[in-house]
Amino acid sequence: MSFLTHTQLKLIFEISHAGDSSMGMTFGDSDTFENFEQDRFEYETTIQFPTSLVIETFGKSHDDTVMGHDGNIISDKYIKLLDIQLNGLSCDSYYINDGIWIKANDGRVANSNYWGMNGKVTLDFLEENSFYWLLNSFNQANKNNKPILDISDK
Amino acid sequence: MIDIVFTTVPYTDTKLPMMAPAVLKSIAVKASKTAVTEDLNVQLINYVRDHPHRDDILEFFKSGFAVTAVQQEVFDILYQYAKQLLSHQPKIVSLSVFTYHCQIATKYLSLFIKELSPSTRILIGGAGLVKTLIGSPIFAKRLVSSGLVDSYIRGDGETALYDYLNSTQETIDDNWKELDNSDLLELPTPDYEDYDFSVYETDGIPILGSRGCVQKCTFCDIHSHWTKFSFRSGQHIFEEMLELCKKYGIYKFTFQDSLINGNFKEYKALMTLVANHNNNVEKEKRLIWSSFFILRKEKIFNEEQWKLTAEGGGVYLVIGIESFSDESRKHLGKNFTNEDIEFALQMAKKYNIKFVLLYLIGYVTETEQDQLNAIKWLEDHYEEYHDTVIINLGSSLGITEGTPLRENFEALKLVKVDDTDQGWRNPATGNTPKRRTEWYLQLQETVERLGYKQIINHDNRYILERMMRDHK
Repeated sequence: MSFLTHTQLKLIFEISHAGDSSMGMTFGDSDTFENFEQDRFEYETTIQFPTSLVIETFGKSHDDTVMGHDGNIISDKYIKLLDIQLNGLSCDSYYINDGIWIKANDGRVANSNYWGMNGKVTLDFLEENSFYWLLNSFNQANKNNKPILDISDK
Repeated sequence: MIDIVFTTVPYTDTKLPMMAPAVLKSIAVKASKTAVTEDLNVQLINYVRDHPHRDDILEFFKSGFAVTAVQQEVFDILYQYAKQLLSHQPKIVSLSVFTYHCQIATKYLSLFIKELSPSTRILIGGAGLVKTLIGSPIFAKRLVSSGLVDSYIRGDGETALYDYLNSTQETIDDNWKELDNSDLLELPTPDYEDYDFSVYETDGIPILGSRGCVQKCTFCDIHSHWTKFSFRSGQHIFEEMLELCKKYGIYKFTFQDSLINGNFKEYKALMTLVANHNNNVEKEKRLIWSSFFILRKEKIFNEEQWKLTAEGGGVYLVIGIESFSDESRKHLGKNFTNEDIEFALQMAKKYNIKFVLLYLIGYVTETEQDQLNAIKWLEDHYEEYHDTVIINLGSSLGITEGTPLRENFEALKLVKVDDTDQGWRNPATGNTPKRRTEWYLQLQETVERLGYKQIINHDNRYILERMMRDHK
């Protein structure tokens, strides 16, 4: 059944600039965005389940991260994924915070929605349809919440 | 094709028919629209009753979490519900979001309906749009901005729905009209034509005589929603009861009021009318009712009133006694004492009225001694009153926005321990979330050990589970 397989996908990002410049992103093979002027960017497309979307980040150099004397980052150029929406419904925040991996061009791998490096992120939509994908994003967050009390009627 | 289909949305833990679709249908008919009602909530309740994965399916409808074993099944349930609503070929589907838990099914049903029929408009409304009565309807706004829902109605829907149905545009307005006494008299009688009362565990016809409350309990946010108490006359309510029982052949009513005896004069008028009616019909056609009820002192509500209540059809009175401590009860805004409870119990037993006693575990002033006193009260009263009372233990006190307790949180020297309503402690008394869950378990064990009848509310158990996880 091709129900909820053809889905509107919206990705919402926070864009942090260094000076006047920002990092850029290429979605899939050809959809490239760079030189963002705003601090927020929304990418919308249509996907057909099952599929994967590869996002390539670029435009980051060593000079874009400014460290303080104490070693803390004072300012940085980065892209942060804030939300994934399918047909207007958001995935669980757990998935955003813990379910995203970026593989940097230099070989490093980070489990983060904070993309301060040039590399590739693969968002998998491998479920049968958007309902199951949303369900699974939520399940990841709640898989340890097993019932404690017997809630059967007495 | 019809103009609009009204439905409840799972999950609300109730054995009763829900009133909203019938009320809203009557408004639609008044606006010259064609309408039908559905009750998806009772469909789900009946579907899972003997289901091997009952708790897992309900868990999805309460929290959105579905174990792998039931994922396909919850998909099928939602798909079938969406098709069922659309089988009426409605221009508008109206989802009644009764509690916060109903948000899960609301968003997924909207998704499924829009996928099956993008041109069908979806209207949502109900108390479940917000987490607390004064909260912003963020959930509804998000669904509207996503395009899954076309409009929402905040607050009591009668006036807003009538205007919406007579408008050619989507209208969204967070303001709503609080109905006064004369407005209540103008409302059409709820339309239960599409209800099958045989599918409910308890088959009383829902009826509403008033809105708001005359009490100002510190833990309750009702006054942030209904700023005044509005009521219909006893005569008006009685006429509606007669109309409904004549139409549907059911003589049992479940009042949905915060309390049936908020206006003592109209309550007496109603009881007198029903008592006179009951004295002149066969036994099986006597009108009986259940309702929330406020205990009053004996000098106000004396034996004559109890006798009249019984003759007027009162069979189940749901009473928030909240505590067995007079001091705690006074602090929370209820001025009746344990002595008053004693008298009421005597009267209930004498006149064969059942009490459902609502107990609020761990009010802010409660101590270990109060807990011991509560256990002793239950033990001392079992022999005499176990056939008279049914115990309903709450999930422990949550301090919500819009309540006097929240407003006076710092003055009461309470301390937040997490972001939940139950996440507070009173350092002066050792009243903590962990302690309150222990108090709940102690009372639960006592109620079971003694053999009291009790009502277990799934929503309460759900809150308790979370408290136990978070405060081990």
